[in-house]
Amino acid sequence: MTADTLCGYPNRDEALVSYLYDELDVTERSAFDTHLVLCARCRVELGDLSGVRTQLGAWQPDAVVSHQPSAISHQASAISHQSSVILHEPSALPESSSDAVFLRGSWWREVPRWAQVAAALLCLGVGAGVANLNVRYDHDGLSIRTGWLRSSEPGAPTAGTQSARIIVAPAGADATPWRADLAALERTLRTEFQSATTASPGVTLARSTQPSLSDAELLKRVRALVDESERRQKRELALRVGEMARDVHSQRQADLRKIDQSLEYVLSNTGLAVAKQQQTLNYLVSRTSSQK
Amino acid sequence: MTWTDEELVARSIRGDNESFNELILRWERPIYALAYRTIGREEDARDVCQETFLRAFRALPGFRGQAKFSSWLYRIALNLCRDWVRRERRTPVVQPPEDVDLMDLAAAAEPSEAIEDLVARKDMTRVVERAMALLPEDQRTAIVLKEYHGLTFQEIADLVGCPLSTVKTRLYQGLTVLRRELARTGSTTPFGHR
Repeated sequence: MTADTLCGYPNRDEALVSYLYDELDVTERSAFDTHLVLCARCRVELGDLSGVRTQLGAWQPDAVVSHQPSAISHQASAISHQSSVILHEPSALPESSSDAVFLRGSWWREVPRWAQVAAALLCLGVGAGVANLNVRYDHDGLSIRTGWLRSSEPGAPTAGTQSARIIVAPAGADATPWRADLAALERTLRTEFQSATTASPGVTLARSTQPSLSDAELLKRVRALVDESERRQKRELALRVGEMARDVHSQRQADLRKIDQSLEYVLSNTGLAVAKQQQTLNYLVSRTSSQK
Repeated sequence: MTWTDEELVARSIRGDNESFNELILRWERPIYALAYRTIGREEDARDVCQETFLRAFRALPGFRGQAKFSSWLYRIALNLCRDWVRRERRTPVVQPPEDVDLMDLAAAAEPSEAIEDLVARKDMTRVVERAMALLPEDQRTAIVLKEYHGLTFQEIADLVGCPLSTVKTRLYQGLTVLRRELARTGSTTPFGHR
């Protein structure tokens, strides 16, 4: 049985809710005001529901209260970046568009500075290597040389030359067939690297966007790890705080019990003292009256 | 200069991602609060919130301004919450771990707030959370949208796709359940002044 059947007001429940949330027009409100004067049941229920609303207002979960804008902006950036990656295939991404700038810029800004420096150094090293790769196989073994001074003599390192030498095995007179193969490999590598450096901007973009996807994946994983670590630390901290709180609580309970016991002791002692005094007083009164 | 939502949407559609970031910053907290109060789990609410903006971003070119941006966003979030509830196939329960309470309390505490008031507020929050968790999804959604997001009956009706009278009925029924439940637990007045 709903309240509608208990009260004659038309659509009473809806009217009550509308009144409660102040979504009645003037006429309807006035009519319901008049009804409230006459109907105690509606008056009581309105008061109770207003109380419920007040209590609902106290529902401020910590998860909502502590949801800080700093975390929001971090997520916002991640969301936008994720969306950009999804929406724009690398091949369809115009280099001059704002999306391209956003795509390249936003993830890079999130990389820690030390990682940016490391990446820059790595790029520099690779670039230096690509600039002048020299693969050689002679009596000293297999040598892979990288350096800027292309004209310098092999085997005579010069200042500014960066070299990395891997000795595989001493070369003998029978090394000649390898030499031809290595020379071919060297030519192939040089051709590829040169074509790579002289490629058109579109091609460069296509290549450069490829790693950015993997970088995005990497960043995503790193972020997940960091989040997990933060959660773990938070849990541990919460556990510690919880333990401390439990200790404080149990100590407090024990103290309260002691206080109660002490109070009982004092009260019982007081009662005894009062009884003794009463006894003494009675004795004195009886003695006095007998002496009279 | 502060742009309106509609202006930011227009700029976002033209490719200005910073404008969309601004929309996220503006609406992320309400959407998160809606998701949290609807599904009751912090992590899942965060996922729903993120997914809401992701979907909004994807669908932005198709947004023609037939509704307010916020209403459109709320609808996406509510649909995701509904999907979540169906997927989980259980009534959402808001039960923060016991050990977290005091830390969260300390974090949320105003410096001037007495510990008694703090504990009372926390108790009240827990009682309301448990009562809300008892409500059917449609009633809970109506109450959350009305109480915590200040939507009108008509806006709620448009969002959830039901008649105006249904929204009022859901609110009435939900509040009645809460009234009974809160009375049963003895929480008759806020902030523990019982």
